[in-house]
Amino acid sequence: MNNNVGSSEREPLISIRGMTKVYQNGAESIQILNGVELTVYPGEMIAIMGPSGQGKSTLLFILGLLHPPTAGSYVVLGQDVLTLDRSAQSKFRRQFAGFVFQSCNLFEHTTVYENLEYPLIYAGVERKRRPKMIHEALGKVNMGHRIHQPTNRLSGGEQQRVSIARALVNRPQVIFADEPTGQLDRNHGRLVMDHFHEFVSGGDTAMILVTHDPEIAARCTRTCELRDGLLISD
Amino acid sequence: MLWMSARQVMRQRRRYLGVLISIALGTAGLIVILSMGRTVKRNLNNDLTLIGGATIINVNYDERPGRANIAPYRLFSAASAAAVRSIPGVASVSVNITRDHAARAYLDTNIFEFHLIGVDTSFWETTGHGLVAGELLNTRHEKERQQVCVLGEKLAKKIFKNASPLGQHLRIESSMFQIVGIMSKSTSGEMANHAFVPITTLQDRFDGIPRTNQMLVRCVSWDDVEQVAAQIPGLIGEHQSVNLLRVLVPVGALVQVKRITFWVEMFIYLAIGATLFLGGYGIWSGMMAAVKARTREIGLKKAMGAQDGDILLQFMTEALCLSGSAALIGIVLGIVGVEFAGRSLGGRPPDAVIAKYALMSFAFSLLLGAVAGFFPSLRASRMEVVTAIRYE
Repeated sequence: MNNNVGSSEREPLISIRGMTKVYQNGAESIQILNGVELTVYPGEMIAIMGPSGQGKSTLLFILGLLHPPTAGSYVVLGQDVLTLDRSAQSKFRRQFAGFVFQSCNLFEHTTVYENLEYPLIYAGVERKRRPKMIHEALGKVNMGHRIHQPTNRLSGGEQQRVSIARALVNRPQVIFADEPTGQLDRNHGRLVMDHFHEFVSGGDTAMILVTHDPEIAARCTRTCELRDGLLISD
Repeated sequence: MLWMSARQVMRQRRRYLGVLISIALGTAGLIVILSMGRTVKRNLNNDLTLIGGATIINVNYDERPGRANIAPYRLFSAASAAAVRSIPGVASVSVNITRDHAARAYLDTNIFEFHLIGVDTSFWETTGHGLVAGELLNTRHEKERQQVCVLGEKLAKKIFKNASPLGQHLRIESSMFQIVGIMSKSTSGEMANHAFVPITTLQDRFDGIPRTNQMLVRCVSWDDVEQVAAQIPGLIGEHQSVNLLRVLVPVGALVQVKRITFWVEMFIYLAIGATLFLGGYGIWSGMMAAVKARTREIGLKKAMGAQDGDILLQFMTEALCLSGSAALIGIVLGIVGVEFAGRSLGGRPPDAVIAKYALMSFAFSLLLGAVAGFFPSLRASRMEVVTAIRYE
C-alpha cells in the first residue's frame, strides 16, 4: 500500500502530509481521513474514487481550503497554507483555486455573464478587463453564444459548462471538481472531460476531481482510491 | 457591487413588494406631516379662533374703577401696533375701542341695546370673523371716517327681523349709520350681538364716553403665544407708557389646544412610526429569508474567494438599495401628497422646506435599511463555506 501518492523531480503544486480529519458527533469521534499523503504536480489530472461516505468530498474541501483539517500539513508551491488566516485563505482561493460542483450551483436570477463576473469582482479585476476574460473562459467551453442568457434558461449540460467556465475565468492553477459529470449524460460528460483535459494540457496547471465513474477516472493521468481514511494510488 | 445588488433587488422585486410599499408610504407620510405641520397648525389656529381664540392675545390697560386715576384712558399708537406686528410669530394685530356702556339704536318706535365696537381693518383677520352678506369695514371707510356699520348676525335679525338690513340706515345714539355688512357668528356667539363701526368714526362720534381700548394680537400658532406675549410690554414701552398695561393670554384654551394637538401629533407619528417599523421588520425578515434561500450562493461565493466583508457588503447593499428605492418612491408620493394637502389647506410650504424633509426622510429610510439589514447580512457573512455549499 502506497500511502504517499505521487512522485516526480519537478516542484509539486500541492503537497499534503499526515492529513487527518475527525468529526465530533456528541461524545463520538468519527475519523474520516487518517494520515492522507498526496503530492500533485503541474499537468496532472487526478481522480479520487472510493465508496460513498469515505471522505472524498471532505478531502477536496480541505484541499480547496474550504474546510480545516484536524491535523497534518498542506503546502502549496512551498507555502504552508494552513497557517493562513481566514482572509488570506480567501485570497488564496481566488488566486489559486477553481471549483466545480456536482449540482452546477449557478447563481439564480443572474445571467451567464454575471455568474462569471463575480469571481473577477472578488479578485479585484478592473471592470474594463472583465469582458475579455469572461469571453475567453466561455469560449473554452463553447458557451460564448449564451453569454447574456439567464442561467435558468440553460440545459443541465450548458449549466455545467458555464460552471466550468466560472472556475476557469480567474485562470487558477488547480481546479477542484466534485463529481462534475454526476448529473450529465455520457456525451455531455465526455465533453466536460475534454474541457478539463484542455485546461491541464498547458502543463502549468493541475486538476483533482472526485468521481464514481471509472470511465471518467480512466481519462485522468492518475487515479487514487480513498479507503478507510487513506489514499491509495492505482 | 452596488449595481449588481440593485439588479438583484429589481429581479426579486415581487419578494420585496410589501416592504417597498410599506417604507414608501411611511416616508411619504413623514414628508407630508413634517412639511405641512406649520400650515396645518396655521389652519387649525384659524378654526380654533371660533372656539375661543387660543392664539389671540388681548392687550389693554387696566381701567377698572379706581384705576383710572392711575392710568388715564390711552389709545394704542400706530407705532406700538407696528412694533408688536414685527414680532416673529405674529400673524396680525388689531386695535379697537369698545364703549363701556351699551349703545342704543332706534328703529321706528323700537329701541335696541348692544355693544358698539370701533374696529380697524385688521380686526376681521385677527378675530377670524367673516361675512354673511355685504362687505366688511375697509380702509376707505376708516380713512373717510364714514358712518357705516357691520352688524352681528343675531343683532341684525333682532332689529330687522326677516328684512334685509343691507343698505338700510340705523340711528345709533344720535348718529345715522348705513349698514354695509352682516358678520358671521362665532361658535361662542360672543360677538353676534355686537355692532361694528370704523375706529375713526367711533372716536369722532362718541368722544368723551367711557370706553376700553384694546389691542388684539393673533399668533401664527399656539407655539408662538407665550414668547410673543413676553415681548409685547417691552416693545410697547418704547412708544408709550406701560403703566397698568395688561397682556392677557388665553391660558386655559392654550393648554387644552396644546394637549389635543400633542396627542393628535403623537398618534400621527405613532402611525408613521408603526408603518416604518413594519417596513424595517419587512427588510429584516425579507433579508433573513433571502439569506436562507441563498445559502448555497453564499457558500459558493466564499469558495470563489469572497471574504466575509464582501458578503456583508453585498447583503447590506441590497438592504440599502431596497430601502433607498422605497424612499425614492415615498419622496415622489410625499411631494404629491404635499401638493394635494397644500391645495386643500390653502398653503403650500416653500420648496426648500419640502426638499429638507425629503432629504431627511431619505436618510432616515437608509438608516432603517442599514439597521434592519445588518443582522441578516452579518449572519450571511459568518456562514461556514462547506455548511453553506452543502445546504439543501
